[in-house]
Amino acid sequence: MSRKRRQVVLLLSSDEEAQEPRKAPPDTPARKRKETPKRVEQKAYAKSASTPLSQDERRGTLPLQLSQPKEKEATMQRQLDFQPVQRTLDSYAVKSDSHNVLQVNDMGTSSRFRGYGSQQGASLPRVSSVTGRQTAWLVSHTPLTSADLVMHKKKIQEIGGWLELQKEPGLKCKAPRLLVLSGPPGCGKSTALHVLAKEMGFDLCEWQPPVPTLWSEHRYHSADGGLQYTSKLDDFETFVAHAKLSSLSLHPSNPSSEAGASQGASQQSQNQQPQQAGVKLVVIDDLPHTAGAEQRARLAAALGALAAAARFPVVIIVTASSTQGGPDDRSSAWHGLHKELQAALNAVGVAQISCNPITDNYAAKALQRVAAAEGMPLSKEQALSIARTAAGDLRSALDMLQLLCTGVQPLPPQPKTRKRKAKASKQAEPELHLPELGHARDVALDPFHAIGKLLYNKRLEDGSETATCRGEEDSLQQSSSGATSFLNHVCTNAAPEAPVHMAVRHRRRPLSFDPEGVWEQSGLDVGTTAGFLHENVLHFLDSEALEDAALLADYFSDVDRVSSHGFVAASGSSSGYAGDMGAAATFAEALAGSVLVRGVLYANAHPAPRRWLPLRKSGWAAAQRGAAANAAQLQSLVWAGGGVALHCVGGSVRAFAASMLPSARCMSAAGWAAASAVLPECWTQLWQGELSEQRCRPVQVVPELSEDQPQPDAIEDFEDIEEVL
Amino acid sequence: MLWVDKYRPRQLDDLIIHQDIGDSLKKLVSTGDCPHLLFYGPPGAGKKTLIIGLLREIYGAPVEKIKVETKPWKIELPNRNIEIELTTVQSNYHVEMNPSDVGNQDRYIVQEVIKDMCRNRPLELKGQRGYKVLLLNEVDRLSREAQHSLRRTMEKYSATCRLVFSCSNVSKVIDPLRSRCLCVRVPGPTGAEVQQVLQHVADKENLQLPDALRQRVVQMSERNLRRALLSLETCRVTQYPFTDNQPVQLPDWEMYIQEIASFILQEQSPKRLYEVRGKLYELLVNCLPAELIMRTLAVQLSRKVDDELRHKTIELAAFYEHRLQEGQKAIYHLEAFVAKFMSEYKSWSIAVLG
Repeated sequence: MSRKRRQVVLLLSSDEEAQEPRKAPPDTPARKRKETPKRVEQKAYAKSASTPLSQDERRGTLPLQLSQPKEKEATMQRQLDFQPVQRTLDSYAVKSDSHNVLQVNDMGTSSRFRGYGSQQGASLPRVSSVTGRQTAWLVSHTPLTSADLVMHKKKIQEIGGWLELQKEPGLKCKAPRLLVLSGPPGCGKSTALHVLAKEMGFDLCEWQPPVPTLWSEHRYHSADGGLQYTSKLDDFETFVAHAKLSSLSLHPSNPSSEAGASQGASQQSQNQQPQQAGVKLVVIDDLPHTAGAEQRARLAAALGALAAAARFPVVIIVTASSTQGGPDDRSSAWHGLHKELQAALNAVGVAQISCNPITDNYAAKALQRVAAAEGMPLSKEQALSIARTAAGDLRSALDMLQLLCTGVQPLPPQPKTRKRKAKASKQAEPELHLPELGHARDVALDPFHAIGKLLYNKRLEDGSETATCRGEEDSLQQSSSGATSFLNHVCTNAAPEAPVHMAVRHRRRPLSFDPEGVWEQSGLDVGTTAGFLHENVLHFLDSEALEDAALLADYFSDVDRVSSHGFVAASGSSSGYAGDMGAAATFAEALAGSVLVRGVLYANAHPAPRRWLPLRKSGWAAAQRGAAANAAQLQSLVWAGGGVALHCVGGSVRAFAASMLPSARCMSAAGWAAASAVLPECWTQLWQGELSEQRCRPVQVVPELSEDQPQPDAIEDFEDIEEVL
Repeated sequence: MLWVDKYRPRQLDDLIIHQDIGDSLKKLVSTGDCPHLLFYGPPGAGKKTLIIGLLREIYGAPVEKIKVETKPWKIELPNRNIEIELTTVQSNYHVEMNPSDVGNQDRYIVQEVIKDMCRNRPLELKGQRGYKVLLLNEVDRLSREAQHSLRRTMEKYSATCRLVFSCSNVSKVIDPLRSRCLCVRVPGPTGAEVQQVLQHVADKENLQLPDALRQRVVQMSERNLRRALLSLETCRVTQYPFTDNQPVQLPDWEMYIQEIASFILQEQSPKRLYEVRGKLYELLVNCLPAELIMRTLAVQLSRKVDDELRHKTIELAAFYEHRLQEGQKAIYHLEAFVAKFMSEYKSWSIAVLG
């Protein structure tokens, strides 16, 4: 309860406050050394903020501030205690949930195995809550039970189900030992895993490579055989090698009971230890970064080995980012992993669970809960607006909330339950006056979502007369970013003062969204968007709405004209080499995009009844591919002539296709050898949107010309050719 | 060997049609120097034949010894290296290529490859010409950037080489290029000329060519000599002796477009438009130029509609054909033409038939 009454202090607000935690640590090194005179390597990543901490830690730690003194101390200790003895960087650390760090060197011998007791919680330097220092809400409100998790129940069950299967220790487990848990940042992957693992009695360990040696350090030490440089990838490979061999245990044992001395025994009798707390669960939160194909191959091999032979369940947490991948690979649960790694993991068969971004409503509820706990009841609208700007990232949403609430006087705590309080605040309207959101996160829209929005063409139900007239212009004035903002500016200024009275057939109900904004958020370029819309939009028209279809087709033609190179930079300047199109191209692109989305929305005046329709990809690409394949076939014929005299069509593939080929086919069908020689070996044909390649040069050529050949009927013969093709 | 190639005149003296152009080319060569040349005219008019005759006139028989070469060119750009594969046909005296085949990268061909070829002067053998000829096909398909680069090349290396262009649409060749060239218009042969050539070939092949059939072949050929000769040969292959009412085979794509035209007239709806789009894709896969599809479709449609609509149809076709030239993706413009036509046709039929 003391937390609630604490004064809210802006993070990093002033110098003296920043200094404060540095004053606090002085007693800690001594204390630490007294208790565990061993090497401690404690890294406080920002990430560790999301891991659930023990109850006492929650009270007042601010990991950011803690990290500096501790890091410093660790380095110092390493230099003091271990430099002569240990090549520490060859070893790896497994950090368990309760922050005990143990080290196993690369030989796996037990003598250096050191545990760090869980009592260390007490020894951690912390800023007492009495000082009024505020902790990140992200940390202090981390869910502790699965009921608190902000995630869809089904997803939680899914993860829980996998964990349930993994309870069987050792190699007896039949289910895949490796789980890839993917999802966008801040959707609660790690938190869910930690909470569930804890509830199900797993012994959760996190793989963390040691701090890499700096290059300068390496140079300094390499002469006398001191520290050696190892990359994170090397460390990972070592880890995998250890994970496979049962004699080299990673077992952290029960941290509270074990001291460094008894390690030897615990390793050998790992599987027989009945008092063991639970099956170990190793979490790999940051895979080593791989820069090139070679490194990726190494990592893929390591992952494959890990999946095939791990003795314990391993969870790899992969963060998917919205910038990766086109619309095509969106469906894969692997979003965020490189293709080669995906292939490697697929080959060995691993479990995969992908999380979706947190919905706005879920996030808003969580925000309200947190805010209420902090004594600042949020209205639903406020919570929703914060949640929207965070776009499914709860971490960002909470940070935003905290930032907004900083400096705001909390409402006096009411001696009621949370629910009642919410009700009361509704009645009394003790609105918190939050500052405006200065900067929102750029919200990206899934490409398919954006295309769907444009195709379904959702409009407001009924507007006033002016809204009906000016619906299109109104939505123009909504803010949108980037190059279109200039366009909007122009259009807004050009709009006459008096409302334009449009003919009834031009009127549309106002749109429920900002078309350019949707298009920009999708991140698609004009060509792709036009391709998708063009392919699909006709199915969204009423079956009688031919006028609309004609208008649409006209708009597509306009778009292609505007977006094709050289519309704005009209002719003239030969711009040297590609890639220096500059502002004109972006402007043309913005213009084309605007024409495209508005054209599609405007022209679709009589939409078909709403129903589910599959989204097809554009057929243009397939047609282009086929044409290119055919052109390549013809290319050799056009020039080499296939034994025919050379210059028959002047080196033009198109002229050849238009004039020579049809006749040659006819003649060849009638068995004229000279004609068969001009036919390409295979010919690609498009049928029902599928490309197929067929041989069309007859294998056996009959040179004789039979005089009494039945006269082929023109149309019939045409159909024959169709079949042959 | 097909008749088109077999009976192609090899020398300017052998010409049956365009004798006048051949004569003036001969005069041009006899002066000892030759300007850059631009041959333009519809397909099947005889541009290439004239060019071959011209080369023969300049260099004599050895120019017919040619070799075909496909080789990759490595081109270093400021920030990357690209490799372009280009097929060339060369003799000791000339190089022929089709730079528009490489698509968007055509300007690199002009900037690097052509420059490279222009730089070397051909070996001078006993009074041979001191320049080589660079023959570029389909210059109208070159991008504007490439054409502009070409302009510079023409001036810089005019001492060592002559450029000979051939194209079918001269309005797509930029003015500076046109002004640097002697433009030679090669008109499509008239009906009488086509008849003359057909008769010539038939005589050489010892064929009895009935007058009616010849007339029909000429009519089908649309003043395209190549097409006329090919369909004559097709007729010969499918049925000989010729009969008066023997059918002349249309090219398969043209029949397909006829089918599309009646398909459009049967029904006008968004669904039908979508189906037509699929058919257009099928045509485009066959390497047919989009302009040809547009023109044939417009002609076929206008043949089948009422006079009132014919005018509108041609207007639409002209508009979207222009769009086709300016845009990138042919399908949009082809489809826009079809959609607009459908819309016009539907409103007309509603107005007339109620």
